[in-house]
Amino acid sequence: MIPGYALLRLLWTRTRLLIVAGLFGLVAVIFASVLVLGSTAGRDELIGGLGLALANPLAHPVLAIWPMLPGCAVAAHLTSLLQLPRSWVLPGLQRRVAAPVVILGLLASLPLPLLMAGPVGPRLFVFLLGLAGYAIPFLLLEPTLSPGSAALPIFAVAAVVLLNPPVLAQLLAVRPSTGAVLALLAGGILARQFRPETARRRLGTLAPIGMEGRMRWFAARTAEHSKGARDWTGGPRRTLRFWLRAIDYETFGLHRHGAWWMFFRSAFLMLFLYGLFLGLIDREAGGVGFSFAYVVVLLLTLMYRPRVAGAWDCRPVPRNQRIRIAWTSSLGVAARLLLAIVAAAGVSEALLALIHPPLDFGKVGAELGAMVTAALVALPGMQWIDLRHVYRDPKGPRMLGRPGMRALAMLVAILSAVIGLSFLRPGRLPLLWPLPVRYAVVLGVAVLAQALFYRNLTRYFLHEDLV
Amino acid sequence: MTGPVGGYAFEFRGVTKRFKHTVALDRVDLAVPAGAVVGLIGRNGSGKSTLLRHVVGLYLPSEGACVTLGQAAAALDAGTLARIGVVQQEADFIPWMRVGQQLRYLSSFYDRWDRVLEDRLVRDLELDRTARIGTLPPGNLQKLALVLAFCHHPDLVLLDEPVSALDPLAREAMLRFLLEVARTDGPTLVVSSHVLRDVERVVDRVICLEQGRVTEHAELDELLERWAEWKVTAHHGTLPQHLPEPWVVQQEGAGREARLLVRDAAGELQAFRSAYRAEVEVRPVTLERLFPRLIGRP
Repeated sequence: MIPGYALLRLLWTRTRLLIVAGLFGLVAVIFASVLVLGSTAGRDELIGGLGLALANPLAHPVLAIWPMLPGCAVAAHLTSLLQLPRSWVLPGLQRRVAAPVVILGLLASLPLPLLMAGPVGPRLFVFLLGLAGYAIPFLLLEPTLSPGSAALPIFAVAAVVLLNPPVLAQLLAVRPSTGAVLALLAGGILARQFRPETARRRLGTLAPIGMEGRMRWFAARTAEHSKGARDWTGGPRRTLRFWLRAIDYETFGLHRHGAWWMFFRSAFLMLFLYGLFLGLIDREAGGVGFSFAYVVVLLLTLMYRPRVAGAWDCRPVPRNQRIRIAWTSSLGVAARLLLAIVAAAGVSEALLALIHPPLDFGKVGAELGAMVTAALVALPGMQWIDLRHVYRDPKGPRMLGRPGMRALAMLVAILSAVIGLSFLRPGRLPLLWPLPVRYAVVLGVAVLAQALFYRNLTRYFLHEDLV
Repeated sequence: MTGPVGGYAFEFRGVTKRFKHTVALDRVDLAVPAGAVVGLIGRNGSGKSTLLRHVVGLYLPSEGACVTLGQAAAALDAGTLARIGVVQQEADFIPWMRVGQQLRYLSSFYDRWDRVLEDRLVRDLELDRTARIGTLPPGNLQKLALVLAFCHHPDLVLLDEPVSALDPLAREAMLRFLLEVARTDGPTLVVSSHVLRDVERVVDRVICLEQGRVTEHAELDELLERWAEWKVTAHHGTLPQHLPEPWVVQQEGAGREARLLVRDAAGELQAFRSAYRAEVEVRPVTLERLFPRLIGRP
């Protein structure tokens, strides 16, 4: 077998390849459209923003986030494979996948140092930072480690270093030593992955189905104490409200404070990490981080989709009632998304105002308006993806599989973020209609999309097989 | 409440179901009387699960119509759906809940939930209420599915491979329970299973499917009376390689001893004994022995 072939087979299917290519293609088109069609200010902002981050040593730790993304994808797939008892008996599996995992890490860490100008030292440092960023997800997703022993110390150290500019500056002043520590960290994490002892310990750590990838330690202690659990007594109440509560409970009851806690925790965490770290560089860069935060909030919302299929097949719910349940629950998620965005923007601005006072209410309002507009644009796409699992149409979205759907969600998120940005900075991006017209178009499209979505649900629930 | 009183629990009227180029059900006409205990048997992929999914309206027929408890299966209302209990072949529960949580939650969907029965079944089937569902072995998931299917005293219970993952003791307990339910509550029970010995103990009617077609639909007693196994010993002379009698469906052996599978041959016994001067020991057939015949196999 060709070395690395096993890992490639694990990571890549034709559909995924096409989707990733499409994703990069879209980003390229967006960049190209700004560079070719956009105004001078837009071009300067795009080029200047990247240059600013690359030139500012304080921004370098944030750059480690980018290799972290492929690291997350590889680690998630690899862990899911190596955790299976079956993987233990596949001859030489660990050996076959080890080298490609390391090579992918090196490749993922290379682009940013190559883009940088200047002496080799800082570029090597950014490369090692990237490598550590690539390796850290392997530790975070490692099933043999509890969050207390893996994730929390890493986040604590990152927070102390990144939120404390003097400490960060001191570490950057001794780059060779810090770089050596980062190299050791990355090497140690990756080497640990492929030790037979780790592999042995992994067997038997399979998470209960449906609880994979979450904080199992936390979830296991809170599920039975969740607020919703107390309400399920008494006779049947087959109203729409009852079923919506039931969906909510099945989907989010695992968490003590239900859906709200999930959304706010995720949104705040991302904004805190990204917005604030960028805010260290300058206020403007921190504000730009809102589009990234928006994309993250949208994606997180999609990950925690309501549960209306599967076990729901056996609930005593008539088909015609399922239409309303599916649509309303989808709107409910959308409403949470909007609230999460509003709250996230507020927190982000408050944090930035601490670093760069005073608080600029005008700017907050503009950003909020842009994000809510972006959410309205994304809403139909999000609902459609969100309820994808109720469809069994072979030509429908289910054919893309889970990673495909996530990539599709990312596309929707990025597209809507671009539109949102065009509202925030009129004239700097290539959507040049007057602002009121743009608002009217967005609102009209959103209403029309809802009507079509409802019609589609009606067709499905009345005329299609449900399993 | 709608539904049959002494009528049919469900009816299939010329139901055909196609999945692209595959015909899963082929012009099925069926009428299962209310209160019957039916064994749904057939090979893998013969259409058993597809048929059961039509009964609850999860699948819609490509042609024909399906009526369940007096309503079109495609448009069952909440009240009628709550009168049906289902054990799916692959139970789909909420993995993060504990067994007790799941029971309390799902019981709130039904107006006839029987806590006493729930306690009894949980005890008899040795289910741990504090166990998390995501960690339960397949057998215990099946037990939980059975508890959930019966505790609301349904009028129609559809059991798709209900005991396949149970250990012998749990299977025995479950079969005893099914017999008891059939006697007391009198719901219509449809048991789809490959374990024909278990089916035979419980059911009073058999529906046999092969390649989406109903190849047999009869009372079990009537079916077993029509068929028999003869152990033939010829004391004088030999038995031919192929006995010419039309009611001999299968012959194993020749010469002095043979085993015959016969159909509708009760009245032919004396004449056969005389013709071949043979001793014939008549044995009842089991459903398992009969199964290949019911699906039209040699």
